[in-house]
Amino acid sequence: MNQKALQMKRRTMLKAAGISLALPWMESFAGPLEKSPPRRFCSIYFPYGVSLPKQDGDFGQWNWFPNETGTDFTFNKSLEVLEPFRDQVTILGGLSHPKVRRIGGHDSGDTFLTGEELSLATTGLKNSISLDQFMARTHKLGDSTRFASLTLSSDGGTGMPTRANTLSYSRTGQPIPSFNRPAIVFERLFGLNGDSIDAQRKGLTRTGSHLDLLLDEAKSLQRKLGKADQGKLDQYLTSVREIEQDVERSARWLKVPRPKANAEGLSLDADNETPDKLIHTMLDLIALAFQTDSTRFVTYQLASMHGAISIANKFPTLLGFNKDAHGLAHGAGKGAGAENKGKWDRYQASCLAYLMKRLSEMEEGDGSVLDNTCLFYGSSNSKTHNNTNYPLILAGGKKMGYKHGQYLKFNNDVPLANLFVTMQKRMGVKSDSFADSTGEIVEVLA
Amino acid sequence: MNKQMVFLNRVWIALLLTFIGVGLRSSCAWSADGETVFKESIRPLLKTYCYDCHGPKKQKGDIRLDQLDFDLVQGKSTETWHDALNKINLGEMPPEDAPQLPGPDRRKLVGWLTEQLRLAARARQGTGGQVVMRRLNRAEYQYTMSDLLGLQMDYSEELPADARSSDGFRNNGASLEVSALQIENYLKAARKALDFVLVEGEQQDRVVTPIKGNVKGRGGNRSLVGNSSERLGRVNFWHGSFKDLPRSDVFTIRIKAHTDRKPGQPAPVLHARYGYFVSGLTLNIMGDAGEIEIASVTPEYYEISGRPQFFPLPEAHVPTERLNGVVTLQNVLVDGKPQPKPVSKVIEEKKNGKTRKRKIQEYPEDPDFPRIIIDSVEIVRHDHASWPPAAHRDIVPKEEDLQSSESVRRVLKNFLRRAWRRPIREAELTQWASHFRTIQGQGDSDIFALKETLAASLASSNFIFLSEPHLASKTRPLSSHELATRLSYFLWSSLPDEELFALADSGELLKPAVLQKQFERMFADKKFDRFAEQFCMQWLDLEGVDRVAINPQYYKKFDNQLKPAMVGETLAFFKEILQSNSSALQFIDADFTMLNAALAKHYGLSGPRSQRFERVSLKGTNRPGGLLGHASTHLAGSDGADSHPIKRAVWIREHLLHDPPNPPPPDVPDLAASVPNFEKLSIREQLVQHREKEACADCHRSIDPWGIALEGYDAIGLLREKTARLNKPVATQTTLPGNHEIAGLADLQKYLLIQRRDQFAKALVSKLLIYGLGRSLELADEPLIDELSVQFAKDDYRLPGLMKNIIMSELFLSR
Repeated sequence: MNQKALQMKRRTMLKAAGISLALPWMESFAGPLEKSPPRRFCSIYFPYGVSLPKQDGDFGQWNWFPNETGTDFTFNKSLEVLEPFRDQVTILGGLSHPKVRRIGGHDSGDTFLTGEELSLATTGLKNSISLDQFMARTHKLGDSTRFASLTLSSDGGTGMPTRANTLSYSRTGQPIPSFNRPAIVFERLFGLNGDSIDAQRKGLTRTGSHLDLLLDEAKSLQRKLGKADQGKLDQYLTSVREIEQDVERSARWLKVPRPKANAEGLSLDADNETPDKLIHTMLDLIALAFQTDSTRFVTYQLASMHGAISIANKFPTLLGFNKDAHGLAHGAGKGAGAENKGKWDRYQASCLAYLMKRLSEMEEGDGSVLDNTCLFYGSSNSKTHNNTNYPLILAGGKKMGYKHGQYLKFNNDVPLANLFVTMQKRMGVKSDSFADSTGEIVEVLA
Repeated sequence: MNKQMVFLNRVWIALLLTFIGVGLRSSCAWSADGETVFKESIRPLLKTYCYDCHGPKKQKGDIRLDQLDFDLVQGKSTETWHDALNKINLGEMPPEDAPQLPGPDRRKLVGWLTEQLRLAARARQGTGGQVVMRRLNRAEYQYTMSDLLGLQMDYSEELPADARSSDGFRNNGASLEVSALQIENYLKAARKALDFVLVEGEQQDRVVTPIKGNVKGRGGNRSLVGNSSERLGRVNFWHGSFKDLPRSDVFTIRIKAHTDRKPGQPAPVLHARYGYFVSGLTLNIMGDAGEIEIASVTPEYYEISGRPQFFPLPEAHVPTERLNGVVTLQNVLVDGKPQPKPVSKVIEEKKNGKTRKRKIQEYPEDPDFPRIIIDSVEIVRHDHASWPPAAHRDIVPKEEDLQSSESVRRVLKNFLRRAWRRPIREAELTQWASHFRTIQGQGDSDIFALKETLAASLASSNFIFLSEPHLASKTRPLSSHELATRLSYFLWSSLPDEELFALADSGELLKPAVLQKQFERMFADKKFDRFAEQFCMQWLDLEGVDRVAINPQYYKKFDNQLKPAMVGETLAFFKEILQSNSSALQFIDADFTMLNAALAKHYGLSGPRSQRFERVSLKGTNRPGGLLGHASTHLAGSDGADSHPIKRAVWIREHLLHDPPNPPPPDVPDLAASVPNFEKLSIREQLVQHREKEACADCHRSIDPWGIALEGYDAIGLLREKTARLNKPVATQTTLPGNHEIAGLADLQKYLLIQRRDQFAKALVSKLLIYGLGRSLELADEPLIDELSVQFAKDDYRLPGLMKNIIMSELFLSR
C-alpha cells in the first residue's frame, strides 16, 4: 500500500459524528496541492432582528448589542452564551444595505447576502448574485471541493420573492433552492453509491449525453417562444448547463471515495415539529461538511421573515416560548416583551455558539477548522420592520487574518457590502467590490 | 411577388399590429379621469402641505414633488412617491413644526397613493394577460408520473417546495422557478421508477409463505404479552415475522380477516406495517404499508402490495440467516372514545421446567368497539398477475422488438406523445431514436437503453413545462392538444387520458358540445378529487394550520392529531358542496359541516363514529356553519395560544373577498413603545390603540374589525369567553367599513351574505380563474370575471356550472 492510498483509507474511515480526528484536507485530489488549509465561509441568518430595549431601562440587559464599543465591552444577556468564544467574535453595529432600506420591513431577507434592491423584470422580482455564490461560482473558489456550495434553510425550496426560503442566488439572480431535511443533506454529502467507478463513469457520460440532447431540444423550442416564455426556458437552459458542470465535477471526483460519515448520533429524522433537534442536526451537518472538505460555502436560513408563510415561525412555541417568532418580535417593544424576545435571541445565539464549539473541536493544521472558517451571522432587521443597523456577528477565521474580541459600531451610511468585500478578499477573491460597496472594513482585520 | 415576399409582408403587418396594440394599451392605463383626480383633489393637498419644502423654492433632502410624474403606473417617479407615502405613514411628514394634514385629507392622500402604487405593482407583476410557460408543480409532477407510468411511488420526495404566487397559488407559471436541483431530481426519480416498471428476464416463481402470528406471548418478545392478539380491538396488535426478507421485486401481504361488528357499527380499519429486524437485536425497523377497511363479518382476503425499496432495508452485508421480515397489524378505527385503562393480571409462565408467576397488564375488550379478527397472514413474493407486468407492456407492447429500429420508433413515439401531451414530430423522433441507439451501442441491454432514454425524456423541457408556444403578443386560439392539456391539469392535475387524447387528435375537442361532455366525464372521474384538494388547499391556504404550533401551556389536552382532521373538515366540506352541486354561499354560512369522530368530539357534537368524514347537521347546535366556523380557520388565524385577529382579518379579505390589505410599510413605528402598559392590554384593547394612532389607523380601520368578529373562538376553534394569556373577557362588537356595527360571527356571516355577496362570488370566480389559467388576473380580464359572476349568481352559485363556464370561456380557450 503506498502512502497516498494509506492516507485515503485513514480519511475514509473517519467517524464523523462521534469523535473527531485531525484530518488533512483534501490536498491532492481536485487539483494542485494546496499548501495551506482551506478557507471556508458560512452565513447564518435569522429573521425579524433582535430585542433592543433602552440600555439604561429595566430590561436594558436584554439589548442585543453591548453597551460599550471597542475591546472592553460586556456581553448583554442575549449574547452572553458567546462568552467562551469572546476572542473569536466581533459584534458589528450600524451596518445595513442602503438600497434595501426603503423596501418593506419584512421584505429584506432576500437581500441579506446580495445587497441589491429587488428589481422588476418580465418574470417578476429579480435579485442579484449572493456573496457565497459570487465567491464559490464566479470566482471559482468552490471548484476544489465535491460540492461548490450548500444551501440550507428551515422551510426548504426557494419560497417567493420578498419571502424567500434561501439566502443564495445565482449569477443571474435566480434563487437557489435550499435543503431543509437533514436526511437528504446527509445522503447528498456522504451517501454511498454501490456501483463500480467504471460503471459510475459510464453513467456520468450517459447523463452528459442526455443533457446535450435536452439542451439542443430546448434551444429549438426557444425560437418559437414569446418573451416571458423565453425567460422561463432560459432558467431551464441555465439549470441544465449547471448540471453539466456538476456532472463534470462529479467525474473529476469519481476516484475519491466520499468521506465516510457515521450517521450515528445525528438526528437525521428531525423535522419542523422538533426544531431544536432539527437546527442542531443541520449545524452538525455543516460542521461535517467543512471537516470533510465536502464544500467550503454554506448558507443557512433559520427562518424566513414572514410569520404567515414560514413554517419556522412556530419554532419558539414548540420550544416552550410564549409566542411564535413573529409574535415575539412584535411584542419586543416594551416591558417583559423585550425579555421574551431577548431569550429567543439568546437561543439563536446559542446555535451559533454550538457551531463554533463543534468547529473549534475539529483540529486542522496547527489550529482548528474554526480558525479557517469565516462565520457571518445576523439578520436584515435591527428590530422588526426596521431595515437599518443590522445585528451582525463575524466569527472564526483567526488564521484568515481576522481580529476579534470587539464591538464595532459604524455610522448608518456605511454599506454592509464593504464588509462583504473584506470577507471575499480574505477568502481569496481578487476583487475590490461587491454590490454597492464603497470600500472595505479593515477594522476587523488583524 | 414571389411566395417568400408575401410571407414577409404578412410578418410586417403582424409586427405593425403588435406595435399599435402595445401603444393602445399603454395609453389606456392612465386615463384622463386619473389626471383630473390628481389635479383636482391630490395636487392641492401637496401644494398646501408639501411644496413649501419640496417644491420650486426649496428641495429639502433633494426631494422635489411638484415636478414628479403623477402617473405612478407608467411613470418613472414611482419609487419617490413610494418613499413619500412611507414618510406620511410614519408620521415623519409633514414635520412636527409644520401644519399637519387633517384626518380626511390625510386619508385621501394616503388612499390615493396606496391605490396607485398597488396598480403600479400589478402592472409590473402582470404578464400582459398571457399565460407563461409553466413548470409542473410538485403535486402535478407526482400525479403525472403516477398516471404515465402506472406505478404508485413518491416521485416528488426530494423536489424542493414550490413558490406560491402573490395570489397564493402554486400553479402560477410566472412564479414557478426552475433550478438545477429540480432537473437533477426529475432524472433521478424517473430512473428509479423506470427501473421498477421495465423488467428484464424471466418471471421468478411466485412463492407464498404463511406468517405465523406471535400472539399471547408464544415465544419471542415477552413484552408483547397481553397486547398481542389475533383479535384486534383498541389497543392490541397482531405481530408476525418471517425469514428471508425480500430485497427486490414486488410482494403482497395477504390477510384473511373478518370483523365482529354489529349492525350499525362502523367498519374497523386495518393498518399494516412492514419492515425487518435482525436476530439478536430487539429493534424493529418498519414503515407504513397501507390501510384497508374490514367490512365483512365473514372471512375474506385483503391484499396490500409493496416493493422492498419503498420500506426500510438493511444494509447489504447483513447475513440473510439473521434477517427477518416483520408485519404488524392494528385496528386503527378512531371512534373518538378514550383508550381503555389496563388491568393488572397475574399469569403463570413455564420456563426451564419451572412455573413462575408473573404480573402483566391487559386491556379489557370493549364491546362497543368493533374488532378485526385475523384468520391468517401470508407474504407472497414475486406476485405478478402477468409477465412482463402490464405497466411494462404499456410501454413495450408484446409485438415490439427493441432490436428493430421500426419498433424503437413506435415505442418512443407512443411514449413521448403521452408524456409530452402532443403529437411527436418526425425530426424529434429521429433525434430520440438515435439517442436510444447510441446508448444501446454502449454494450448495455435494450431495456436498459430504453430506461435511460425515457428517463431523459422525462427531464425534457417538453415534459416538465406546460407550454403553448406563441411568438406574437396577440392572443391565439389553443390547439386541440393544448386545450386537452389545460383541461386535464385544471381538473385532474395530470396529463390527458386516452379518450381526451383521441378527441384532441381528431380535433373534435374544439367543438363546444364535445368539450362540455368531456368536462362532465372528467368531473365524474375519481381523479377529480385532486382538483378539490389542490384548489381548496391553495385557495384557503390550509397549510396555515401546519405553520402554527398549539401552545401546550394553554391547551394541555390538545392532541396534534386533530390538526389534519381540521384540514380534513374543510376539504370534505368543499368536496361536499362541489359534488352535491349546491350553493357556494354555504362557504359563508351552512347548516351542516363534515366531521369525523375525533373532531366531532372536539366540537362537542355527536354522529360520526370513525375517522371517515360524514355530513353532520348543525341545526340546533351552537356550532357555526361555513368556513368561518371551521377550526382550521381559527387555528391558522391564531398564534397557538390566542386568536390573532389581524391574521384572521387578512385571511377573510384575501381568501374570501379577494381584496388583500397592503403589507405593512417599512419601519412601522413601534406602537407598543408609545402606549403605557401596552403589553398588559388585551389584544382587542391593543387593536383599539392601533386604530386610534393616526399612522396605523389608515390601514387598520379596514382590517381589524373583520378579525374581531371572530374573537369568540380560541386558537383551537372552540368558543371562549376569556383570552388565554391574560384571562380577559373577549368582546366581538366592532364596526365594519361603512359604519356597519356587528357583534360576533353570526352578524359577520349575515353581513357577508347580504352586503358582500357579490364581492364574495366575484372573489371565488377570480380564484377559480387564476387556478384554471395558471396566471394572475389583470385589468383586461375584468369583463369576463363580471360576466362569469353574473352567470354564477343566476345559477344559484353552483360551482360545477361556474367551472364549465370557465372552460368554455374565451380566456380558457385561447392564449
